[in-house]
Amino acid sequence: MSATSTALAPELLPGGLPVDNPAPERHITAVPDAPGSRRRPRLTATLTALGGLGLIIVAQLVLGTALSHGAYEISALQTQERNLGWTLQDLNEDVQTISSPQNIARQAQEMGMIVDGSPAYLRLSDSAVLGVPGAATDDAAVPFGDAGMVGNSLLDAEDSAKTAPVDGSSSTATASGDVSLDDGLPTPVTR
Amino acid sequence: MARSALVTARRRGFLIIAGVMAMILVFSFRLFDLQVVRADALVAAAHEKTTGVTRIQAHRGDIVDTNGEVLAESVTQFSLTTSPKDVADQKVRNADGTTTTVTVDEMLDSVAEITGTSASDMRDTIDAALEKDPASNYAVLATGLDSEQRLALPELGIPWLYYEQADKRVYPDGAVAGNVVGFRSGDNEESLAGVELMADSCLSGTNGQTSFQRTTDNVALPGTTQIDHEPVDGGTVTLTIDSDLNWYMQQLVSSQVEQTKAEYGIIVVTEAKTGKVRAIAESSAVDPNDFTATDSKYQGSLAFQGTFEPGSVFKALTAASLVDAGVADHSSRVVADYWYHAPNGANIKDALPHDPENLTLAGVLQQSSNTGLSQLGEKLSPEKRYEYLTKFGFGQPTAIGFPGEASGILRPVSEWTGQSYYTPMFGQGVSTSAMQVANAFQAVANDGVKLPLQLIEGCETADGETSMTTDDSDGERVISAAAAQETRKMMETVVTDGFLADDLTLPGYRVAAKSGTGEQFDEAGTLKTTFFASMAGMVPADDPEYVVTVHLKDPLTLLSSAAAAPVFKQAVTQVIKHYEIPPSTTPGSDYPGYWK
Repeated sequence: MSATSTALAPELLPGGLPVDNPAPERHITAVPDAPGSRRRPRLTATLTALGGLGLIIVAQLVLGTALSHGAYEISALQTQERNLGWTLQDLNEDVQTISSPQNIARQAQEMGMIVDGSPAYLRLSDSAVLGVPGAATDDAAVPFGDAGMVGNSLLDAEDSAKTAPVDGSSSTATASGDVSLDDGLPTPVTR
Repeated sequence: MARSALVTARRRGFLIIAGVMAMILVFSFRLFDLQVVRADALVAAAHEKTTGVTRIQAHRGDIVDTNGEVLAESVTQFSLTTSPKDVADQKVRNADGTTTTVTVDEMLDSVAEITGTSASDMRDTIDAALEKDPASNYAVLATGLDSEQRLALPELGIPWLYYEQADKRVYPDGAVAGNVVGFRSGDNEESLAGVELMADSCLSGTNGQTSFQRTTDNVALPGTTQIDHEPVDGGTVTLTIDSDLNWYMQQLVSSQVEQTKAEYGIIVVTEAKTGKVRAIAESSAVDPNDFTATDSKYQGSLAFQGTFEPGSVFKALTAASLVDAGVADHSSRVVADYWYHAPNGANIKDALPHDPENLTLAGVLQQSSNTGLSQLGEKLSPEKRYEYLTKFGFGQPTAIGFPGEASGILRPVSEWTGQSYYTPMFGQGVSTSAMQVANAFQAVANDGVKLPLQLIEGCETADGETSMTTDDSDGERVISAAAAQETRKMMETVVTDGFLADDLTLPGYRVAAKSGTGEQFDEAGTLKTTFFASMAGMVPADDPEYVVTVHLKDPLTLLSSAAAAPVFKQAVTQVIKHYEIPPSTTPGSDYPGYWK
């Protein structure tokens, strides 16, 4: 119980009616100092707060560094994605050019293949031969001309890139000599 | 004194308050003016001063064939640029702490090794730019670089190299269907020919835009870039063309053009029951990747744009009209002499002298007799014949609407006098495009119903909407199914018994065809000694799946349709193999060509 509450007590008597006597002079005094033993927790609190603040600053620094590191990483990955996208597009274009009909025909011609003039079919259900089979010959009425008749400047570019590599590091443009089937189907090679 | 001092003080107070109020009022007005009245203009001005925008290029759509094989696509390419004022030798610190100087020429040499352009040319470009403007900060060193080159260049560590990115149009199959696919201008800004032009609005997308906060010297502030609107890529156009088949036909027709020293040749393959064009092969094929290498008169599509007098292939159509009108059938008899002196004064003769022959209508087609057909053709009024030719599609472009497509010439009946009363019966005095001939024979193949020809299956945009499709039309009946069948059977005997039988017969298959050797006049109006050789036909004859038409202009070593016949046979053979058409199981036509 403090002195203040004691002083106010008469006015808060049961019934709560004002007491009909001159207002007593009010005594406002500061709360007495806390006992000396209470000072120590405040110091601890200050230290804790300061420590916390320090921790927060350090954490923010660490987080900030991590974030910006992440940003660099994202940027690097985005660049990598873009570059890979470009490479993919280039390779797709190469595949499409190499798989163009005139190139496949030229490869086939170089392997000695010819176009068969007389189609015939073997029906498996009754072993019937449909059509008139005959050996494929190259004495057709219209001898097939050189496979380069239907032009493709992209193939020409591809060819020149292969015959005269401009840069030793360009690895996609490598032509191998013998075709080996040891590792599955060989990749198409243009000449 | 004290009172007046009080008044003065009050007045001063009042003045101060009034002054402050006035200031507040002025500022309020100004604030209102700035924030409300002129707000939009000021915001815009501020925005303009601090914001930069860049265009995001929308990808132009692909053109693919009926199997999805890419015929035209857009790829990203790069240009190498530099800031000439910054081009200087460079000091490089070595591992051991010493520095060496790399000269500009050495650096340009290493650039040239990657780009393939000449180092001295690049040096000249830089010097020329500096000479013009010592503070020059832009010059293009190399263009058309691919990603491999683009990615290799920064590894040289040259600080004054910059890159630009631009879409380029490439055509992976080169000249395969090149005349049909068309091409765009060298700067990829404008479509110039073919489907590129025809389907331009669907192929081209809508460019997008990004904006960013910029500094006074126009450098984008990091992290401020935002996309205002995304680019909308163009649609993919699917053609009815089969690129593999088209390649074969091009190779074939080019081979024969070379062998017969013809000017050019065309093969068209059309699906009989749908009107879809599967191949348009032209010997003078343009490679859209490098269209300037081709003579400008062959850069378009002669199948659509070129016209010619078709000659005797028309006899099959005349016979079809006669049969449909009920005035003749395959056995209608005629005595065909070398010359026919017509009642109206016209003089018709056959290609080669011969004794009088007792021909049937089928025989007239087999021997391709002008005199025989003229006599039988008289049974049908010119008005009717004109009507049939119009219904077969002559005198008007096909439904495809190819850019610059020709209508050909079909003169009105009022002009059919004397010789020209007869000549349209056997394809002279009329001019047609190869596509019109293909469409007319499609009608014969499709039991008399002419379908609108189709070159484009459709154009599909990124959000799945399809446009440019052809409605499943019932087509237009030109002749009765019975007349079409009878015509085909007559054409079948052309293959088995006609004068070109040796060149045309295909063991195991029923093929219907008609040859044509169109006479040509030069610009001065004199008859040329060379011909326009044609073959038009279909396979299998009993129930046609495909219509094959072949045209050769001015073959020199074979001066007749004999030049086109072997091409036709090989083309039909390829169609049979490509579409796996089984051999015929029904007996062939037995219409006799002669009567006794």
